[in-house]
Amino acid sequence: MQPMINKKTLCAAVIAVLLIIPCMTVFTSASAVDTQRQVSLAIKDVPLADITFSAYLVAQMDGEGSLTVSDAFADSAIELNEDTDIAQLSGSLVKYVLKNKITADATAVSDKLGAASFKRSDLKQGLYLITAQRVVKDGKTYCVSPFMASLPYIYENTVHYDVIADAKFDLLPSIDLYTVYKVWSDVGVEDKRPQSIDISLYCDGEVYEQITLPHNGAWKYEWKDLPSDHVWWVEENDVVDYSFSVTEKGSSFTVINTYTGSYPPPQEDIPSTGQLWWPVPILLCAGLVLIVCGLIRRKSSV
Amino acid sequence: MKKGTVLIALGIAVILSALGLTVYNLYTADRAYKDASDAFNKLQDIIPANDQIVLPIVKDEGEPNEDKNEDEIDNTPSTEASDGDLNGEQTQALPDYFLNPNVDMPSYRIDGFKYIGTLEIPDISVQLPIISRMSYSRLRKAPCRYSGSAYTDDMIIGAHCYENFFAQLKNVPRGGQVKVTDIDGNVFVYQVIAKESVMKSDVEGLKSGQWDLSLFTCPSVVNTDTRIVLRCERIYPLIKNQ
Repeated sequence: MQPMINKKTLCAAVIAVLLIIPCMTVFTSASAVDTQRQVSLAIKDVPLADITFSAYLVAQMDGEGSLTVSDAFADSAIELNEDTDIAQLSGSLVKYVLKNKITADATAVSDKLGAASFKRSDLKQGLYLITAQRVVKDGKTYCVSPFMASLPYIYENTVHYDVIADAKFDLLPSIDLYTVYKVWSDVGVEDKRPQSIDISLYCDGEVYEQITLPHNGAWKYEWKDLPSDHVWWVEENDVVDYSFSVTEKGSSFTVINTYTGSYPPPQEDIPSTGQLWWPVPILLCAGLVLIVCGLIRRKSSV
Repeated sequence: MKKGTVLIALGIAVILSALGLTVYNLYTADRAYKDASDAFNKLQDIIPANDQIVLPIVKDEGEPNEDKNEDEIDNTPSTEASDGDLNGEQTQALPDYFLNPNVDMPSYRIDGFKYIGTLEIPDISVQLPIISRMSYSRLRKAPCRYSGSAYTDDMIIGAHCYENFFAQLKNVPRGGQVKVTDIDGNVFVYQVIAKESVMKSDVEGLKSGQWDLSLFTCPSVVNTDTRIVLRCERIYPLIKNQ
């Protein structure tokens, strides 16, 4: 299963800004990371004060900048190699953290100036998942996108031990309509589909409701009036011979099942849409011929 | 004399079998039409009414579509006010299929058969339900969806050439209109652009051409080697006829 989190924006803002504090930053060659150096992370452009940020150490970093998945995320099935798009990991990792109730390694609270800073003493060198608490104010929910932060950050052969990131956020209605659509990718083998499938709606890592599709004949279901200061996502129970993926657009999830079984040989003919009429004239003629022959025979034998 | 009697008896039996086959075919067609009509009426009861769409449809320019070149037809789904726009007023939100066209058409079960909506062809007085998936047993009940979806503009529907099904399909004129209504009450109006004949073995030919809607059947009761195919393009916008 490849669950994805419900966010109003695509998750994973990569660390964007490298504003270096001159008196505190030492540049070194990118070929070596000073593992004794402390690292820091500050987040700016936070829309509100008193938003709590949490940092989860996903992987430790060694002196050459290589990452090793930490114990807390050992079962998360993430892969960290050259081909990994680290920025895209935050969505699945947030769900992992919520479902497994992982404790944050560090927290920070935003101030009135829109900045939040983690304590240096709480941070180790490594790859962090940064999440933010959703806050409701004046009927709107402030949702800061989770992102991945590499501390230190290695950019263009330079190691930056003090990192500043821009917060990206969305304003959501305080309650919202969430919709799940079911799409089948199985042209030609539609009869292989199960009669129904079960989908679970998760809220902050706990199952909120399990539904069955189709619902009233439709491959769609709506949850109304859900508070948007929680993290919502859907997961599907395994379907035999189908793989599963979820995409998100706005407050809707699209669950896609792609057939992975064997396909039958292609149809040889377009289905027949005619009736069996051609024998009728043949049978009529044959019957008449037989009757005539019979009459002739009778006459000749008289 | 006996031989002559036997031949006559045999001849009568053969003729009776021809008559029996004729009666069976007529009964099957009649039974199919009754079942289809019942299903159509039941669907009419459950499908939300949409009296905004009245056939024939005219385009914004007020000109009826006659001999319209297919290249001139705008196949872009309308998401502007013209979708449901009556007398300049926005009347309805975008339907679900606009947001997610790949979701399969909803269905409604009647007597064990799943129907995805109704089909109307005014030029040949056809009003029939559409069964979700095609099989030989389902074809004996109603027209069936062979492939595709109204939402993705690639639907192919086939039906038997029963008198009250698709027997008169060949008589639908170019420019004639076809209306499909799904279970949610979404209406799709198409215009006939072309008629083709494909060999029964030409499955790829049937699916080719990127037509919004194709209807097929056997061209006659004796010709089962080919299929006549009506090719249609969806008409936009959906506006009420004056």
